[in-house]
Amino acid sequence: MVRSLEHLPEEIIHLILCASHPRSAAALEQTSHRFQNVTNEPLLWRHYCHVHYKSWDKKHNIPQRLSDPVSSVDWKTLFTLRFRADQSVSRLLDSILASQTGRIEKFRSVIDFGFDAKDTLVRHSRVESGEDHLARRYYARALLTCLHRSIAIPEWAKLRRGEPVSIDRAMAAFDLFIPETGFGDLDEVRVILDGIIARFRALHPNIDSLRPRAKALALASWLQENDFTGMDPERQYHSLEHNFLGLALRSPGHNSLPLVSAVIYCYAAQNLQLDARPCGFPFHVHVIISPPSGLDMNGSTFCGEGPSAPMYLDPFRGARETPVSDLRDQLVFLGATDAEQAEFLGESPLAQIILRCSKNILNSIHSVSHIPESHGTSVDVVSAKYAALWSSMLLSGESRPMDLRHQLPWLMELFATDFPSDIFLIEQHIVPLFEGLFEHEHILESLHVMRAVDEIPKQVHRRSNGKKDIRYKVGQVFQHRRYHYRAIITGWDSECGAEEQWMRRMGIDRLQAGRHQSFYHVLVEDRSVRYVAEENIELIVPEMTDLPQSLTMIAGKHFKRWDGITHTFVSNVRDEYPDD
Amino acid sequence: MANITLTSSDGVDVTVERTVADRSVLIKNMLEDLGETGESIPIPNVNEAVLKKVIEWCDHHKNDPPSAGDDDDNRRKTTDIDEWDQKFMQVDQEMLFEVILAANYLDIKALLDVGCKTVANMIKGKSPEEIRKTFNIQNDFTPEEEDQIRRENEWAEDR
Amino acid sequence: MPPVMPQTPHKDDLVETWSFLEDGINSVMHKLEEGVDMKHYMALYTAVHNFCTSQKAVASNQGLQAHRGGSLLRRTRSQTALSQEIYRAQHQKLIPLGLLAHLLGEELYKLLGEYLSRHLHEVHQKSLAHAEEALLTFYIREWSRYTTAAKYVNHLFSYLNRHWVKREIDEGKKNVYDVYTLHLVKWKDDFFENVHTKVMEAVLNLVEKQRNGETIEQSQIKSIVDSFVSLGLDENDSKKSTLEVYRHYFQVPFIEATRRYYENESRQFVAENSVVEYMKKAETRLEEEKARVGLYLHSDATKNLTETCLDVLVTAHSTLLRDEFQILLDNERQEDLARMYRLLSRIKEGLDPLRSTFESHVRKAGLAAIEKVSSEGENFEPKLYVDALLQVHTRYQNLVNEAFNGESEFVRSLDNACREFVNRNNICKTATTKSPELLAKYTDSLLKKGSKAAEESELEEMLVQIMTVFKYIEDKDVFQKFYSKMLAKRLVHVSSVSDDAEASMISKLKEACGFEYTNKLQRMFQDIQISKDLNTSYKDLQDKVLDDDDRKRMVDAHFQVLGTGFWPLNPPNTAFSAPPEIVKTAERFQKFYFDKHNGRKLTWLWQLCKGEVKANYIKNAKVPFTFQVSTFQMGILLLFNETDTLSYSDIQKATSLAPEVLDPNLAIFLKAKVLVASPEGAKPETGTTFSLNYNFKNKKIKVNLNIQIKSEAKVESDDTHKTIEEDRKLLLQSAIVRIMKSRKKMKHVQLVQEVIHQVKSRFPPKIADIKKNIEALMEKDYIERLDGDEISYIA
Repeated sequence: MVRSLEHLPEEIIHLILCASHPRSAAALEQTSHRFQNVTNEPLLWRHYCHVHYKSWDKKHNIPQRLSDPVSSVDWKTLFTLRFRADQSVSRLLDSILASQTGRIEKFRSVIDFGFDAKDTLVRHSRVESGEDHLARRYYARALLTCLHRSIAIPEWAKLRRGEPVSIDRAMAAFDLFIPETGFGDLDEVRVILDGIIARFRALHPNIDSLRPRAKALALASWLQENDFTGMDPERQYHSLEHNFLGLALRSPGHNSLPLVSAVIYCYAAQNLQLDARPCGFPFHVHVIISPPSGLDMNGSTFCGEGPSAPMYLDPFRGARETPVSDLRDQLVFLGATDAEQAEFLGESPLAQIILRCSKNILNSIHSVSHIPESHGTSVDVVSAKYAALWSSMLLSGESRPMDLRHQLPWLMELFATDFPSDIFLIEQHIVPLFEGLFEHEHILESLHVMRAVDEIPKQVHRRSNGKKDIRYKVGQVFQHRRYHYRAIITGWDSECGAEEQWMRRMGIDRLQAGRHQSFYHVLVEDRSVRYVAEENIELIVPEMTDLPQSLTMIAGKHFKRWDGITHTFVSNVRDEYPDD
Repeated sequence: MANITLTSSDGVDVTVERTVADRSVLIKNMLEDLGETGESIPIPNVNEAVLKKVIEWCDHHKNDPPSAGDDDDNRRKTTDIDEWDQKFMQVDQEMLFEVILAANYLDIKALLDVGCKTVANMIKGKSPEEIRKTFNIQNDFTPEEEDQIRRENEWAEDR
Repeated sequence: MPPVMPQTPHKDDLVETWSFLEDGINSVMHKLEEGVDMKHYMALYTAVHNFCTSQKAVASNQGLQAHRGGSLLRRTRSQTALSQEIYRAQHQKLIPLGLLAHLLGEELYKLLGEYLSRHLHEVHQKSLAHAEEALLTFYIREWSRYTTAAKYVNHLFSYLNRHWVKREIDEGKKNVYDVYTLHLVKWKDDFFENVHTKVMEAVLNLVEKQRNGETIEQSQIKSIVDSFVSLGLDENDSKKSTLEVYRHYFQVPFIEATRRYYENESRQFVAENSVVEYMKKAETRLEEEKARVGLYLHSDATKNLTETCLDVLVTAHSTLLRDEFQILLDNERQEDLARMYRLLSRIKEGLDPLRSTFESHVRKAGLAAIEKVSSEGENFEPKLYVDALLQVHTRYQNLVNEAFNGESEFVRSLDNACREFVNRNNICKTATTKSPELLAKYTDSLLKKGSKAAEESELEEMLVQIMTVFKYIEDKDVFQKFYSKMLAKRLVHVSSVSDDAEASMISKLKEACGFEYTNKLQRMFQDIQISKDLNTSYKDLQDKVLDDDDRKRMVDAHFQVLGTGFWPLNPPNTAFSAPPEIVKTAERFQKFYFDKHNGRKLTWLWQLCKGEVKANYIKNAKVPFTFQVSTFQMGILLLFNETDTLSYSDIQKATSLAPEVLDPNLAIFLKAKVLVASPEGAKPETGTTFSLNYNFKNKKIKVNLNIQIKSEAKVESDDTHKTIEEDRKLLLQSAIVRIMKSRKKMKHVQLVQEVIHQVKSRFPPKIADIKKNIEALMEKDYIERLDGDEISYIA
């Protein structure tokens, strides 16, 4: 008996197809009726959808589809749709890399794919080699985080509008700003939290029969024993990563600030049918647990006036109930008025908690910058600051336009230098906040300018019509003669092109060669952008591995790759500097 | 551990270690159900040549850790085949399909996977016509049908 | 001779294949004990495999359709256009244009199911002949035979499991299971559903027999339970099991029967036996039921069973039990009390009523004990009082520990009761300060030289007991006042039983009330230690600078330097011209001291000084008498070295003593006949003259004339109370100022609350007193009253 592919039973051909790329299935389909039948098996395409694409836009409702009967979805069409989206996003990215012009619209088109763009971006953000891999990685990553922010920001906007938002999602939104957390969706944090609760429940099968107080304490002590709340005393209290819920849950020691510990506790406790909410006590967020109506915390019937007394806990410190008298004493000590006391001892609205988290982050950034040795933090400071500013802009009360005004310049500056792909988020969420205020025009104007600059091709800097020599080239690495930092040249002017005021402030005329020498735009290893006179530049010829990762990562903004022979970066801004 | 004797469909006895035979879930289950009687085990669907080939594979892999459940995702995603297996699979098509069928019959999952991946690699990157040629497939479409199916699958050419 | 390899059926022929398989399954199901041989095993597996893989690749669609049997239109797909509508509703019918790949095996699966139904129907028929234990035996035997066979069949059909069943489940089909699970599903639907009522009846009858004390075959029930548990299948994931079947068909009737059984039993038992007997019975029953779970039930039953038993055996009779509590307390039936505690502690709020009963019982016991003490008149020993308190406390503390497991709520009740009777009883009816005063006095009596508690360890134990009572005292400041007075006396008069004991007591108080409370006590104690060293170095110096002559004229003296402000001592309330001998000695020491500590001020507390004088003038005395006297007395007596007779005014002039001091001391001399008054019998007053009695007589050589004057003791106690009032005023005022300083503004009511909170560890303040002191501070312009009820701090 001669065996051939056609003689294999269906189940084996199915297995072969599962091991193949979908393109192979498409080719095989075209060979004969037999294979046309086998390759159109819905399970096969469901398998492809499932294996080839991890992230799907919410509109597909994939988790539900996967558990529905296979025949309820045309999986093959869905796959081809997704496959095409993948290709489109790749092409858009290629085009973004190819030219500095018209990027904003391309960013927008990518983001419009929603999570259907994600797998593609993730793939590109991990390329290790290739003609333009630095730039590819940089822009894929920028778009990926922009995508994450476009999920996170609406969550706060909802909260601003007074719509119900769950505590874990509102907190997880911070994590989405930070690429290092590895979080790509708000629900991922919830999955971890639910896992923790499941573990707790498995170990405490009778938890639901406990009285509220005992239940609350049992949970607090279990969380504490398993390090899910609180902080290792060895740790730097203000370290930036302690502010992020998702990060705390995922990191090995689960170190977190009181606020985050309280949120973890509240989420778990609410799951156990306890009415637990964060309490915005000064300096140290606590948890307030109110008894079920008609009962007190011991589960007995309560027949006094009004609701029975709640209990207070400090999950950060552990499983001991905090007597309300202690809290009152502290408030008395702080000189709080009665009204303030009532406020501090009550539950805080979620928006307040988020605002507080945002303040904590800014605090951490501030204190981290004072402690040089704590630079080992795994959280990108710029992204963290950006998250804090966004949340605080969105959640500061309507009644306090001064706060908004105060923070607007910071947000706009960060946005313009580090997150220009967010322009539509700014338009959608920030611009309306200023309606009726004089800043409104101003913001619209700067956005307009940004778009205009994006659409017009860059002014070309040629060396040939040079009036004099410009000694250094885009892509070269140097050390500053006076300040000793390392930086990459990203552009130049034949003489100082800054405003008169700036020159005066910087004392340009006190330089040996004054203002009439070449000046260079440079990207510094601390991620800042500076403008340096030629006389202060001392070229170095490092190996790529000698440069800090922070520098090589952002180098992709202007450069395609590293050239190991010339020890320079290869320009991706040749439309602006064609001769470099 | 005792040795087991297997009898191929063409009546040839092959003796193997129990651990080798246990790679086949069919044999493993049976020995657990019936106990070792010392009788030879008839393998009615596999001839001597194929049986020996399969045993060669089982012998090489006798100390592999048991597969971690059936996690389709991880297993099917990688089309990598380890070097020994690649070499092992360098056989003519007929033997390749025989081995796949035998692995399926004897319930040797890992071997079945290797076989399927080998075939998948043979299909990879080929046009429909090349596939037909490779596997000797008869084109039974009318030109209209063929044209329509080609159009439906244009997406896959899109690069 | 091994059996010949059976001929496997033709792979494309369903009828042939199935009849071959059915034969095989039959022998597995009915004759497994005879064994299955390898060749058959392989043949059966191969038959399933071959049937499922018999692909007629080149067959026409018609042919395939015939081969595959019915229901082929299910999974078809429109090929005409890739619709925009990717998600079609499940019920939507689509036009069948082509056939999709389809795995084979459905027919085998169906036939197997039908076979199992037939088999189980037969089993059911046979079961009708059995009842009670015989039915259980039958069920268990059939179950075991069936599940063993199921394992085999599952392996024989494993090719079906691996492909067809897997595909169906992947596609989201309900009611398709792997072959082993199919067996269980069939058992449940076709057999179990028909017999479970009868089976459970038999089980429950067995359990009842066992509860009645008969021996039963427990393993039978265990097997039934295991079978029920196995039948719980998770609809969504056949690999998981749930306890639903077991809970619904076993646990519910079992719990119901348990409830009924114990309702009857307990009702009857209570009617015929005492409560104490009932408690024993209930406890035994609870133990038995707990053990039952381990013996043959699923551990899932524990909670439910325990709750039911507690409900029927304890909660239902809890009033009866509680009514017995007071009786048991009265009769001190510790063991029964413990049993009652154990039972009631297991039901919700079972103990709450006991706690209040217990609390009032202890309070009454305490009050009764004190009543007994007070009935013996006013002048009882403090020891008697403290012992009475302690005795009650100890007795009930033991009870709490032994019978109530030391449970914190009972400890709290005990504490409440003790606090009540310690602070408010017959003896401190007039003033709550009586308790701390008596306790302080008792402590003094223990720490003073000559106390009866001679053994050191015994003393320490008694101090610990004092602290027990101290803990309950509300007016802790009163205790402090009395204690420090008496400590001062013990220290000044060197009458402490031991330094160690004093230190131990102070550290206990410090532990209980904090540093502030014992600060002064500790300083007093230190002063004495420092003084000892000071005297030593003073003596050393004297030895060096004095010659023998000087030394003869010297008064041998010991000095104590006590820090003002730490000691509850006042300067003398009378002027006094000390005799020259004393003055010289004092000045010498003063010079020494000032050399050491420049700029300090020393005030001589003459009223606390004492000494001895030798009476060399008395006739007929073989050995001269020694008089132990106060310095004042010494001043008077030494005057008689110059002359034998002195008038009242002479003495007054020479000593400068005020009459309140002079008169009683002269009276002591007269009474002891050291001096004789003239005219005879005259009181010490102007006009009386005093002469030395040369004929003084006494049995002892040493005569103590330094006796405390009666009125002094009384005055002292009153003084103490007065200073307590004064101190409390200060404490309240400083608390008010402290609070207002930090809060700036506050409501009157809140301020009062806050003050109470801050001082209650020292004494329970009266609200009227707080108000009075707020007023006082307003007058002093520390604080002012604002509009409404608010008070503000004036900086």
